[in-house]
Amino acid sequence: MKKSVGLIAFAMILVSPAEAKRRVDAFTGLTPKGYIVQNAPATLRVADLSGAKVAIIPSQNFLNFMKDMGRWFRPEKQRNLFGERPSAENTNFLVHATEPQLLTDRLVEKLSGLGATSFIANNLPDAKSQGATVFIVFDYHGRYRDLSGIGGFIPFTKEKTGWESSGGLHVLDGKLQRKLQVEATAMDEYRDSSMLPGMNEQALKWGTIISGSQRKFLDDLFLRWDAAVQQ
Amino acid sequence: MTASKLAGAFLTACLLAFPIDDVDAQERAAHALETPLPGPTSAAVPAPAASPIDRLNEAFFKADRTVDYANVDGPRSWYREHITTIQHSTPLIGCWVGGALASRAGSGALLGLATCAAGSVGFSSIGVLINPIKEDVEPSPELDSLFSSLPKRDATSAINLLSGSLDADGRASRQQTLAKETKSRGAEIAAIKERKQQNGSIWGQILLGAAQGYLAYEANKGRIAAASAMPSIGGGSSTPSTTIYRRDANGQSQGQYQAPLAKIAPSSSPATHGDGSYPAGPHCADYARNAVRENVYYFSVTNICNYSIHVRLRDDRHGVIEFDLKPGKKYTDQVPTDTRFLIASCPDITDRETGRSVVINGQGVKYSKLGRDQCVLL
Repeated sequence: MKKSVGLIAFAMILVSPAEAKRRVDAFTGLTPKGYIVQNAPATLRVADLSGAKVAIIPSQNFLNFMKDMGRWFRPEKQRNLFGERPSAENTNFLVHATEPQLLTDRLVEKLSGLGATSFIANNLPDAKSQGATVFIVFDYHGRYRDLSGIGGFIPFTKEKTGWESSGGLHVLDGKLQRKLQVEATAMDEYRDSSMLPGMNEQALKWGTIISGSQRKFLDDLFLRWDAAVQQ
Repeated sequence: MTASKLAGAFLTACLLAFPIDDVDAQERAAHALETPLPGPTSAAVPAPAASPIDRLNEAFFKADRTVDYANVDGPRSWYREHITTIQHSTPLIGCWVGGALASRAGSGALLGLATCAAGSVGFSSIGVLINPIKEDVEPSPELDSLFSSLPKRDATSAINLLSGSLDADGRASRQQTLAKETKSRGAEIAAIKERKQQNGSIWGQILLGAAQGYLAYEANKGRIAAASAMPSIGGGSSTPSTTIYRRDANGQSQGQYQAPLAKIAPSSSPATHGDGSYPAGPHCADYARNAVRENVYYFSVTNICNYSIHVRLRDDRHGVIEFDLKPGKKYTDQVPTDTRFLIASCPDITDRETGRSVVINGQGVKYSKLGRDQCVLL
C-alpha cells in the first residue's frame, strides 16, 4: 500500500527523487566482508590530530548520495513531462544546495582548526600509501521521506515532504583501530502548497530541505564530536 | 642559605617545572591496567594476561619504543635512539644528585632518601617532557598485510569532487553562496505558498470541480435536488467550485457537462429551473447556469473575483468574448451588439432580448460590504 502511494506520489509530482539506496554499514567496500573494526584502547584527543595527516574517506552511503544527487538534481534533469523548468535562479539554488562538498567542507574546516592537514582518499590502502596517520570514514546517508501519507490525496490537504540526513564519523588510528565514533540524524520538512507544485516550487523545496537537514545533521554531529574528543 | 636549603629549592623547582601529571603517561598507565571496552560495532579483544608491574612497565617504558625512527631527526632522534637508557637512568641520576646534595649539606639519611626520591621523579619528568613526539605506527608486516588485504574501492570522480573541500576559498565561496541563495529563495517560497493558499489547491479544485460538475449534471437531470448540488459559499469563503455544463437552445439539458476547467464561486441558493425566475443572490453558479440556458454554450470563469473579474464568454454567434468586469462599470461597448448577453454592471447581466436582469441588481452590494468584489465571475 505504502509503495503504491509512493509510486502515485512520484507520478504526481514528477520529479521527486526515488527512494534512496538502502543504508549499508559505514565500512562497506572499505574493509573485507566480515571484518570487524576494533576499538582503540584510547579515545581520540585533540592532540592526536595536531600535526596529523588525516585521510577523509567517504562511505558507500556517501557515494550513493552523491550518485543520487547527480541523477536527480542535475540542471538538465529539472523538467517535468510538460516541459516546465524552474527558473535559472531556482535551478542554481538547487544545484548549490545539494553539493556534496558542503558536507566535507565542515569536516575539513574542523580538522584544519585542530592543526591537522587533510585530504580525500579513495580507500584505506590508498590513504595509507599517501601517508595518512589518521583515517576518518565519513558516513552520510540521505533519504527522501513522504510524510503526507494517504492524507496527501484528500483534496485540500497538503503534501508534506522530508529529507532525512543520517550518518557519522569513524576515526581510525594507524592500526585501523577506532578511536572515535560519533553519529547524528536530522530531518528537515516542507509542506507543499498543493499536490501539484510547479517546477519552481519543486526546486526550492528540494534545495531547502536537503541543505537544511544537512546543516542540522552537521551541527549535531560536531556538537557530539566536541563532547567526545578529549582536550 | 645552607646547601641543604639550596638542594631542596632546586628539587622543588624541578618538581614544579616538570609536574608528573603528564597526560600521556597517565593514559598509558590507565589503559594498560584496563581491558579495552567493546564499541558499538566492534567486538572486544581480550588483552593478554600481564602482571600489573608488566603493564606499568609497558606503559611507561616500552610504549614509546614503537617509533618510526626514520621520521625523527636531530637531537630528538638521538633521544629516541637512547630512550630506554635515558628513561631508566634519569631516575638514578636524579636520586644520585638529590642524595649527594643532601649529603653534602650534612643532612640525615631520611632527608637524603627524600631528596633522592624527589630528584628521581624530577628527572624522570624531564625525560617525559622532552619527548613530545607522538607515538607513531610501528612498521610491521602484520599491519602491511592488513592494509594490503583491504579492498581498493575506486570512486575517483567522487573523490575529485569532494577534494574541492580542501580549497579554503572554495569552501568560503560555497557557504556564502548558499547562505545568500537560501535567504532569497526563502522569500520566493513564502510568495509561492501565499499565492497557492489564495488560489486553493489545484488538486482539490480538480477533484471538487469534477464532483460539482457531476452533481450539477445529475441535478439538471432532476436526479438530485439542485440546492444540494451547490455548496454554500460560506459567508464569503474563497473556496472555489466549478459548475459548467450546457443546455440546448430550449433550455433543456443535453445531458453533458463541460470539463471543470475553471473556478466559480459556489451558490447556496436553489438553482433556476427554466421558468424565467431567478434566485435571489448573486450566485456565481447561477450566472453560469443562466448563461448556459440561454444558449451560451461555454461560460468560463477563470479566476475568483475577489480582486478583479475577468469574464470569458462564448456564445454561438461570436465565439469567445473576453472582458474585465468591475462593479458599477458598463461593459456594453466591449461586446458585439448582437451578443445575446450584456454585462451591464457587476453583478448584473442583462438579457438584451427580454431586457431582464439575469441577476438581481443590488445583490452584489451584499458582497461588496464584505470588503471584497465578490461579484463573481472570473
